[in-house]
Parts: sequence; C-alpha cells; structure tokens
Amino acid sequence: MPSSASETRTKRKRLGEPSGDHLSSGNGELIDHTELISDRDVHKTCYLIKPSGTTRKKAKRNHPFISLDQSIPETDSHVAHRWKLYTTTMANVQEKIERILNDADESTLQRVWKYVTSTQDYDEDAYPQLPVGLVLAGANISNHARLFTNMSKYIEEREGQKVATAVVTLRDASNLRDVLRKIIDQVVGQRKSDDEDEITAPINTVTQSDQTDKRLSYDLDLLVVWLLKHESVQKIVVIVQDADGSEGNLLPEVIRMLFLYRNRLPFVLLLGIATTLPVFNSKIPKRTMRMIDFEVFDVLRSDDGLTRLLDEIMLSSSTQLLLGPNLFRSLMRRYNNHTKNLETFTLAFQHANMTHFFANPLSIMLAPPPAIAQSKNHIVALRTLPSFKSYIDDLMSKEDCDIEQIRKLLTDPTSLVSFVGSCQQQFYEFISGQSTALNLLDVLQDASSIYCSTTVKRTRAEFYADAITGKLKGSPLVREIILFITKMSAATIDNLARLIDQQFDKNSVIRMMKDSWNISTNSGKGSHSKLISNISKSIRDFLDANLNPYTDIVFHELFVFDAVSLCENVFAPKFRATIEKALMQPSYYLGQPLETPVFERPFISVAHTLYRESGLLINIYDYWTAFHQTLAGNNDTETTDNASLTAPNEDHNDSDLIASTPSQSTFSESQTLALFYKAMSELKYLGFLKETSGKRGGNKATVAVLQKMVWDGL
Amino acid sequence: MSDLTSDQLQELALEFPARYNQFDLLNSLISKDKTTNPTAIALTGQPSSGKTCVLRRFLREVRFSHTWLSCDECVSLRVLLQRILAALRAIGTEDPNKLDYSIMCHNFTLFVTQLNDVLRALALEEAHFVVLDRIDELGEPYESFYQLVINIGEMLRYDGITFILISSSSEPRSSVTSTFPHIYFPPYRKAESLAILRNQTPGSIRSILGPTDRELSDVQLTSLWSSYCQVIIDTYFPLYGPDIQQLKATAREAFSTYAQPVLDGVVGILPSNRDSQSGFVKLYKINQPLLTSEELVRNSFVSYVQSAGGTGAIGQHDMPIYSKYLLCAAYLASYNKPRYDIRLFSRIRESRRRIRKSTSHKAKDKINGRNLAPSPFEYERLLAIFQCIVPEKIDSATDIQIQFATLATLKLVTRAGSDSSGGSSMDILESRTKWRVNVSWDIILQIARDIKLQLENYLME
Repeated sequence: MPSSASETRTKRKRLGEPSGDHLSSGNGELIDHTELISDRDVHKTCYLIKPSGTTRKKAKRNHPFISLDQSIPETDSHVAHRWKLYTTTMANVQEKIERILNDADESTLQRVWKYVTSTQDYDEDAYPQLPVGLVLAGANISNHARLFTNMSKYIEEREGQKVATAVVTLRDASNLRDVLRKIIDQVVGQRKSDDEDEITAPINTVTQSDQTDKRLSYDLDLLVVWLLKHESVQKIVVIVQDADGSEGNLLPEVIRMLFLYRNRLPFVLLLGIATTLPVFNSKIPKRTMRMIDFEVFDVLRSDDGLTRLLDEIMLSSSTQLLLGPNLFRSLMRRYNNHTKNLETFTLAFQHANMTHFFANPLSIMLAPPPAIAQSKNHIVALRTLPSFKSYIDDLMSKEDCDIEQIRKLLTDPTSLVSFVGSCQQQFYEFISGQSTALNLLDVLQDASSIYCSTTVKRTRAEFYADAITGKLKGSPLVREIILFITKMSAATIDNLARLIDQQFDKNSVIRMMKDSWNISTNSGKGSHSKLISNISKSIRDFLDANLNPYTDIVFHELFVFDAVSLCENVFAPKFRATIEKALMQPSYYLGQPLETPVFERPFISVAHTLYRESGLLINIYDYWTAFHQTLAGNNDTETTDNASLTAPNEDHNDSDLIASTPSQSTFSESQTLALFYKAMSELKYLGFLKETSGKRGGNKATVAVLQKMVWDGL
Repeated sequence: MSDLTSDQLQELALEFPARYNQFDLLNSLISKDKTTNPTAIALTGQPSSGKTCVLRRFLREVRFSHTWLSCDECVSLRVLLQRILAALRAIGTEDPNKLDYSIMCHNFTLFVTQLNDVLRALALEEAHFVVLDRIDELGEPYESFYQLVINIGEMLRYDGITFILISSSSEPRSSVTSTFPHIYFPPYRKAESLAILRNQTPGSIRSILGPTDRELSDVQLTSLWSSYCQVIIDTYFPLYGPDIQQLKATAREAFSTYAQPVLDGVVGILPSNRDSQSGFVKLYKINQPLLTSEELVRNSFVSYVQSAGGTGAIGQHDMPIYSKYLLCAAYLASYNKPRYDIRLFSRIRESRRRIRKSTSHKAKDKINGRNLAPSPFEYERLLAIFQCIVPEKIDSATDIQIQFATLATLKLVTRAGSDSSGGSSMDILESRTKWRVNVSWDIILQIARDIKLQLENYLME
C-alpha cells in the first residue's frame, strides 16, 4: 500500500508568501527566482509542496475569497468586491515595497560596480594588494543567492565584454581545487558561448579547444591563457557568496591564490558577509589581511528601509488601512528579535492586509459599492460596531443632542453610509496629521541632538505604535522636546528652520507654521524670548492636535486592522502545540467525532495518553501491559488477525493510521507488542522518551526503564 | 671555475647589503659546467630574507640557463610536476614562452621517466637550473617531493640539470640527514634593514611620492627618504622584525603623507642647510600622529572602518537580538560544565547549598578555560540555557530554530562529531544533536555587551 507521502512529487518553489496556500496561483514573478537559485541552495524562505495527483478543482469564481456567511450573509458580488479592493490596495502597496527593497539593493549594486571599475590594475610599487570588496549582506541568508546573482548580472550588463564574473559558494566546495575549478569554469564558460558559438561544448571541460593541453582543471594558468585570447576583459570579478560559511582555512587559501596571480589576472574579489565585521575579522588570519586592500559595502540599511516603509506605505496619503498598534508591536518584536529582515516584515505586512480583506466582511466599506445601502446585513453590522455605539451614546448624553440626527443614523441606511464616508475622511486627516507630527518630532530630535548628544534618537518605528494610540501626546519625551525649544538660542532656531525647510514641502502645515514665526525679523532680547514662546506654543498645539489616538475616530474598526491572533500563528507557527494536540486529541485532525473510543485512536496517541499519566521513569513492562490492556481490554475474545498487522504505516501521516485501525479491536498479545514497539520508537523519534537502564531496588538486576523527556505545556 | 670576479661580487653586495657571503657561495657552488654542479641546492632562511631576489639577481648576472617556478602558485604537486616538464620541454624551441602541456604527470616514477626523456631530447651541453621557489608553500605536503629532488641525481641517466630549492621553513625531517649544499640566509639586522630600505633611486622615490605640485631635487628627495627610512625602521622594526616586505609596504604607504609638509614648504629639508637637523625634527613632530596611530598597522577590518568614520556601518547590519542570545547561550554551554548548570541558571534555593562541596578540588584546574577548545553540548541544553538568559518569555519556537540553523550555516556554531570523525559516530536519525560554539571570547563579550548581558555572571571560572 503506497503511502500518500511517497506518491506526492514534491516540487520546490520559492514563494515569497509564508501563507503560500492562498496565493499559490498569483505569484508569477517569484518563479524567476527559482531559475536564479540553484537547486542545491538550501536556504529558501519557504517550500511549497504540491501533491501532483490531485489537481485542484477549478473554482467557478475567479478569486480565492469565500463568502463569510457566518458573520454577515454576503452576496457573491460583495465577496468579489472585497477581492477587488484587496487586489487594488495590494497592487499599490506591492509596487512601493518592491521599490523600497530594490532601491536599497540598487544603491549597493551601483557602489559595488563603481568599486569594481575603479580598482587599480596591479602595480608592484603602488597597488600590490588584491582589491577586495566586503559586502555586508545581513544575516538573512535566504536573500544572498539572489543578491549576488543580481550583482554579477548587474556588473556584466554594464560592463559587457570588459568584465568576467564568477559566483562561488564555499559551502559546497570541499577544498581549494574545487573553488578554483568553479571560478575557471564560470569565467571561461560564459565567454565560450558568446564567442565561438560552441554551446554544445561541455563547459566544465576547460581543455576542449586544445587536445594536447592536459592541464588540470584547477590550474589558474588556464585563465592566464584565456585572458590573453580575450583582450577586452579588464577585470575578473570573483564573488564569494558565503565568505563566513567556509570551512577552516579555505577562504584564506582562495585569497592567497588570487593574490599570487594578481599580476597576471586582474582579479577583484567580492566577499558576501552575513555576520558582522568583527566576527568576520576574527576568521581571517593577519597574514591574509596584508594581501588585501578592502572596501566595505553595506547592502540593506534595514532600519532606514523600515522608516521609509512607514513613511511611504503605512502612514502615507494613500494609506487605506492602518496597521493597528498591537499588530505593529508584534511585527516589530519579531523583526528585532528574530529576523532583522525587511523583506519578511513587508511580507507580514502584506499578509495582515490580506487577512483583513479576507476575514472581515465590513472591509468592503473602505470603498463601498453604490448598492451597499441596500444591503441590510451590512448596515446592521455597521451599527453594531462598538465605536459607533459609543458615539451614539456620547451624542445621547449631551444636553442638547440632535435627536433627529441620531434617529437618522439609526434608521436611514443612506445617511449612515454617508456618515461612514465622512468618518473615512476624518481618518485620512488623522493619518496625515500623524505623519506630519512624526516628521516634526524627527526634525526636533535632529535639531536637539546637536546640543545633547547623550539622548539616543528614536526612530519613527519606535514612535509609531505610541503615536497612533495617543500615548505620545503629553508623554515625557514630547515634554522634553518642548522644553528644548524653550531653551533654544538664535542659532538653533535657524538650524531648526533649515531642517524644516529640508524636510517638509512648501505647502505643508509645518512650513506655514514656520513662516508665521517670522524668524528673520527678530532682534533684541525681548523679541527672542517672545519668538521662543511663540514657537513652543505653536509646536505644542500642533502636536496636541495631531497625536490623538485612533480610537477617537468613529468606525475605526473599519480602517485599522489589529488582529494579532489571526496573524501571529501564521508568521511563527507553534508546531509543538500542534503535535501535542494531534497526540492528545487526534480526532481534531482526523475529522472523527470527539467521542472516539480510545482503542480506535492511532496507537501512538494511545501510548502518549499513557505516557501523560505516568511519572518521570516508566517501567517498560508496566507500560506495555497498560498499552495492551487499553487496546485489548474491552474485547476479551482475542482472535488472531494477522492482516491488521501487515498494514504498514511508516509515515507520520495520521490519515494512514485510520486505515490500519481495524473497526473492532481484535488484537493478540504479539500484535499489541509489535504495535507497542512501533509506538515507542515513534515517541522516541519525536523526542518524548529516552531509554535508561536504571538500577532500581538495591542489587537487583537492571530494569528496562524509559525516561520521560517532555511535559505538556512546558 | 667561478663565473663572477670578486669585483662583480662586490658590486652585487653593494646592491644587496649583507648578502656578500650568499653571492660568494652561489658563485662558487654553481657554474656553467654541467659536470661539476650538484643536483640540488637548498636556499633556506626566514621569510623575506632576500633568498628569491638574491638568486634572481645572481642568475641574471651570470646568465645561466634556468627555469623559474613559483611553487605557491601550483595548487597541487601534479600541477608543479607538469609545469616543470613543460618548461623543460620548451627549452631550445623557437618560442620558449609557448609551453606544451601535453603531458600529465601523476606520480614521481612517471616524473623521473619523463624527465629522463626530456633530458635525452634536450642533450644539454651547459648546465640548466630549475628553481623551485617557495617549495614549502605548495598546496600539498611536499616532503616526499623534497626528498625526491635531493636524490634525483641517482635516478637520472642524463646530467646537466640542477634543482635549486628555496624554502623559508625548516627542512622536512626526512631530509635533515642528507648531505647536499645549503645556503643559509640569516635574518637582516636593524642596520641592514635600514640600508635596504634606503636603497632607492630618486626616480623610484618620486614614483612612490606620486604626482606633486612642487618638484624636489634628487638630493632633497634622497635626504628626505633616508631620514624617513630611519623613522620607519625605528618605529616598526620592533613590530615587524626583519620583514622587509612589510617594512617597505608601510614605508610606501605613509611616505606621501609624511612628505606633505615639505612639499607644502612648511618644512625645508636641504643638506646644505645648517638647519637640516631642526627641519627633520620639525617634520617628525608634525608627523607624530601619523606614526603613532594604528592606521598603518592594518590587520583588522574593524579599526579601518571605525577610523574611516563609518559610524553607522557596523550597527546597521546587526544580528537579530535572539541570535545574539543564542550565541551567548552556546558559548555558555560550551564553556561551562553541565554539572554547574543548576547552580548557575536555576533559581532554586537548593542549588546554592552545594557550592561549598566542590571548592576543595578547584585548585586542580589551572588552565584558563577560555584557552581550551569548546566542548560539545546538546541542543536541548542550549535551549534551556537560552531560556534562562533571555529576559522575556519566548513566543515562537520556530523562529528560534531558524535562527539556530542560520548560526550553524554561518559556522558560528558547528555540529560536533561531523568534521573529524567522518560522521560515523553520528546517527543522523537521532533526535539529539551535539554542537559546539565557534566564536572567540572577545567577540562573545562584544555581543553580550550589545544585549546588556552580564556574561561573567554565568561563567564558572
């Protein structure tokens, strides 16, 4: 009986979305990456495994969203509208994210390219060292293959015939010869196909042109000969992807070889470093250090990228959906503690967006279709939102409440929809106010940092969550900044004015505020203090007016997405809990009714139940007896049915376990013993158990005992 | 029989200070006459003691037919053997630079046979020298080859070929007892190093200086250079010793900065000037920051970056915080014995009680643990320690494992038992794995400071 796992043909595909299942269809551009990255590359963000046999039945609707009938009965057009909203929002965001990510890469690529072309040729007197570019690519190694392939392409595209490149990974090269062979193959190979139309010639036999040339494939003299034939080549760029992943002495050896040949071959070495410079430094011997002349490139200034991300996507004028403070904090925590990777952050952001449109039927209200006023369900749902309820309560509690207005909101769908529209407008104003206020805080921090260098500048990402929840309003930090303003000298004011001019547009509120200060006209002591009080007052007023919590907005549930629980489990699945749940309650995953008798469960689950009931050390005989009793206990008539034993269920796919479970518990002792052994080895493999031979009870012979390794919920 | 007259020798010795004896020895040992030459000569001495350039100069002077092979360029012995044969076969052909690599040479027997063939075909009338430069830097063990070359005379049926072995490490043990001529190059002394450093023509000094606005006369240049060399030697000889290459590189690097005040006219250096001494002192004072800074002693990427003013460059590319904690935990797991774990990491009262017990035999451990190799630890132990040192509760086990895998890929932790024992002792199906940390104390301390972890509190020392 072939197991389902052996039937499935696994197909590896690099997918940029952790929740690949939802989006497996619409990720055309990501397939390119598979071409770039060799199959040997083991570092991918995720793998998508597709069972080949079951082609998914093509759905009638042309989008993956489903109607959320449990909360609000929706029509198909509503669902489609949500999907449309999602795609348009995403397309907008996606493009910006791509640009931010690429910009960071692009600038590095350009700097590296400039460096490569600017390196001097070998000259014994002036430039005797090997030029080396240290590319700090960050700890996210899944990016590296793409980055360095892009780098080599980038350089080649711009330099054409003048540069030959080779990208090598030390991880899968065992020794120096391997590395040299790869370099030679790549340099010679790529040129071959250009010049001589010899595409069929195997690239890895370097000696094809000359039958009498029997030089070994790792002899760098081959490159010297090749270089003589290709006079246009001015630089040979060798890119080492994983400079700090090399075994032992390999990298210094490679550097030494390139150094020795640098008078004949115009090498430029680029090293990809995933750790930090001090760590990398400790791996390079001083002797090697003398051979090189290096320059450092920092690829992704992730924190800059984060600020830009906040600026251009999460708090920009086109923002439709605001990321809630809790979710944002959770994302930031993951970013700082675990990944330090902007790409993962953006993916998480996109997923959060998708979840909002997928799971919230009211997300349709971001751009309501004209017919929404007719949809009774939506209107009712809108009225049940807490923010709307408290708004109505507030209106009611006022002395001179406009009863007519309230009645209209509560009864007339059209006026409610238009009220939502006005709330949305209010929301946009809120966002632009927040964004300007954060910008202003940035500028004020810059201005003050010159005078008190001890305080660390806080980035916008640190402010974001506090700002939108209104905690920043009147916080000690803001008060400190205001205090700084009151102490400003004339020069500082000029500096502040200059910074404001740099940072803000001509038409922005801040610029107008600055113009109203009339900085240039003041002279004399009295006017200075007047100016200062003027400035501090206007800034305090501005910050107070704009750092309001988002909860002040009616219907903020529509515009702010803050469901941490929906996302967190997707970003970082808790597999241990899953395994434990599967063992304790297999019916949950097997789709059986809850009240399944114990003996119909998978055997490993039975063993696990007994395991949970025992102490630290488990006598193996007792364990088996209990196991046997559980399985055979309720049916005393033991019939030997060997067929049930022959059913193999090697894999851990629980669905097979059902198949092998007989409908009636008919087990002989030998059968249960075999099943017991299997369950034990599986538990051991999962790390639940350890074999120990403890001497129990004085001088008696050793007793076979199992030691418990895992407790629930630890 | 010697080819150079003593006058010529004197001249060479002027060019190469303190190497008269070596020239003399070479001159008396080898000659054009193929019958009198030994089959092998060894030139030994510390790195950068002039072996290569003395020999090159000598061979140029006497115009012996020779083949020069740099062994450090050959990755393996096979490449070297092939190159020797190819170079020998090219002798006497119309284009000596066009080498014929049609021979593969896999072992010594084949090499000797083919060498015999080549020599027969060549029928040398005069002696030919094969120089094997830096034979100790061949990528592979070279001892047996060394032995072979020394004794090759007994295996060759045709004479006329002499191998000159240049090596800067001590001779292989197997060849210590064999008797063949050695020329020893003693390390240069301070005065000799100075003489070598000073030995530059005005033209080359000018090229080191690079393009300048103001032209200095040859006399001025030489005077400036020689005083500068004295400074360099006095400053860096204690650091580099007789390493001429390094001294030269340092001298070259700093010269243009050093000479800048002279070029600007701030300081005048003229031999005729009575104040030349004071001029030098003034120049030295101006340049003191240059000479005392560590800028020129560049053996680290980090100091370079910091001095270049890239303050943000280091902080930006940081590891995730938990990776740092993991690395610290790995270090603690490697350098603490498991039996101390409860005492160090547990908050249970009971653990404190046992402290007195083991203090008695603590005197035994005298070697500082940091100097020993890290001991392997189990992954679960690492996780347990990690939980203890992390300030907050960990929310995601998946991310931790990913980070650990990343650390392993970056070789910051290595799998124990996978490298040396060939994997035989390791069961890949086993659920427990052993690891060891691969980062030194300095780096760990730096990382621990980043995350404000008092690492010393957790170390048993």
